[in-house]
Amino acid sequence: MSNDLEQRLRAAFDHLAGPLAPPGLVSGTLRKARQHRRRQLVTAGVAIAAVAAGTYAGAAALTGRTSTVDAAAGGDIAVTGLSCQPGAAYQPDEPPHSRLLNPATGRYVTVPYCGAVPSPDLTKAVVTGGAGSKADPEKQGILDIATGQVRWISGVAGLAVWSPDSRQVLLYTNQAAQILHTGRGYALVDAATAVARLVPFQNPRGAPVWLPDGTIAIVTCGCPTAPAPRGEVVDPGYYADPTPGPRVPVTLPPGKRPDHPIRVTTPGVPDPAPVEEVHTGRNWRPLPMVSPDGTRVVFTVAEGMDAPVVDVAATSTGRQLHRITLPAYNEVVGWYDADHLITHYLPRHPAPGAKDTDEVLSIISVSTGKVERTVRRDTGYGTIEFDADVTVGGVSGKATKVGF
Amino acid sequence: MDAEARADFEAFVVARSAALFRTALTLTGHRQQAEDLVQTALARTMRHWGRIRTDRPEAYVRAAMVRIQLNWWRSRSRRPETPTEPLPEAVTDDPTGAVDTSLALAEALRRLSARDRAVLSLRYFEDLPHEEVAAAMGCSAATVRSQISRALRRLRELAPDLETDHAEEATR
Repeated sequence: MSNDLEQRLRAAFDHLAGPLAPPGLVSGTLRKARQHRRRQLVTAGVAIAAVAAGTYAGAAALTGRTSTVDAAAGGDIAVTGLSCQPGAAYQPDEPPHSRLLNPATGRYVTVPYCGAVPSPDLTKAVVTGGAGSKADPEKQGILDIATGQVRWISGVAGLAVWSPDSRQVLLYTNQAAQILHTGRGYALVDAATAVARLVPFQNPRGAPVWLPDGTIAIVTCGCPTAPAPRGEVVDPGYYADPTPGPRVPVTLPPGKRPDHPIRVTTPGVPDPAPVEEVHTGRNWRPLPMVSPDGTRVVFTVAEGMDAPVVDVAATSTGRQLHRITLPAYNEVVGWYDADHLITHYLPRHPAPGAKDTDEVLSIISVSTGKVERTVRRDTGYGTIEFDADVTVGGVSGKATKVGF
Repeated sequence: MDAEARADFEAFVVARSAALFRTALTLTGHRQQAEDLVQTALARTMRHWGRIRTDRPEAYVRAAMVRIQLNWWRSRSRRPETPTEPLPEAVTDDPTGAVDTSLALAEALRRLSARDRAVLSLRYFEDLPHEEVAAAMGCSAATVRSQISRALRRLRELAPDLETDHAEEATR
């Protein structure tokens, strides 16, 4: 190599390395090192979960995994999406946006929408756009994550529940007796075209879930006027589309319809002033969640802060299998595998600097309620960071800067 | 990690982050990736700090950055969605041609494989001897020499004007 070219190469590297280190590099590094030391969030590609955090929400999706929890394995959870709450007020310098995991790169992409609920295959997401005004009403659409293109859904909006094959979205609303201006039921949206059609169902109080075979099951509110005996089928609310399937007579206690979003307060803001509403994507409580193998469904019985209670029932019979009391302030965000749930601890009234401001993901046995592993991270309100080594679909990558 | 070791690690991060960031920039060519790379390497370093703190920790971090970058590059190269920096704007009317040459060289470096780029960075930016480059790359010094030769050949292929410019300058 000539000295001249050598000098040019050195000059090129010097020029390349010229920019000053970003502000916050040291503090960010130290924070990351501490977090990294405490835990790593690593996915084995078969278990994917997302959690709500701080003033934002995420979505959860778990696919088949049957092994028991191995505390020494280093973890296998990846956050698939963090999303701001539609309709919330935002600062001009921090407009609505969501972060979605791109499994191809293991990195997160930012999309300028709230309410993002990623599809199980992470190629698409339901997003919410519009300012919520008369001139620019709130609307939902199907986002192609790779291209950024959104196909807006007309005529209906609701809580999005993706089909297992990511080809359809069921929109569920606890308020709409009339949707699509045609009748009672739920809206089924084709993800490719964003065209919605009515799924007629006479008792739309029940919460929809998809079974692994692609059928939709409705976990009904046991009785709107009087409590139903546990395990007894009051309204075997069931609708299967496109093919009939077995009935899913699971009952949900009354008064647990998802019309009470969680409210949190921010440190420094006088309690009880609510500043944000949080829901957890498709797991907006008490939306039930079916186990990866389709045999069980978990739903929230009591949302209490001190002792939230969930039931696990058989999807084939509706029989109650387990009742678990979760650690205080926890909520179920998904199934970890056939025998374990992932719960998320979200402090409601954290004291600044207190230990309980840490957010914790726990993996809990559905049979014993025992916490088998916890994944902890620090969070400051207004800052959410999941820095995770991820492997999704066999592709490894680095997922950093997830925080807002 | 005890309090003393933690304080020692934090002092190292404070003292060396900026320099490591510069190295990361030469490895990645991307500011955000460089920041991620430094932070990730240091986070991993912390786990082994008790063992390496007295044994050239910066070399350990540098090697970690190279390994991580090679892994990232491999995973990204399997898929098309790679974050990219904006291409540099075209430069015109540069009487000396120096800027054009610099941009051409920067673009050529960007298009090198991560391994070729790393070996050139360690050798010509860090000015490391072949043996230390080999240690960081996890190969022998002989392999490093051949990789440098190959990387330079590839660089000339990607930026043939470099040789032309050099020849023109030589005849002036």
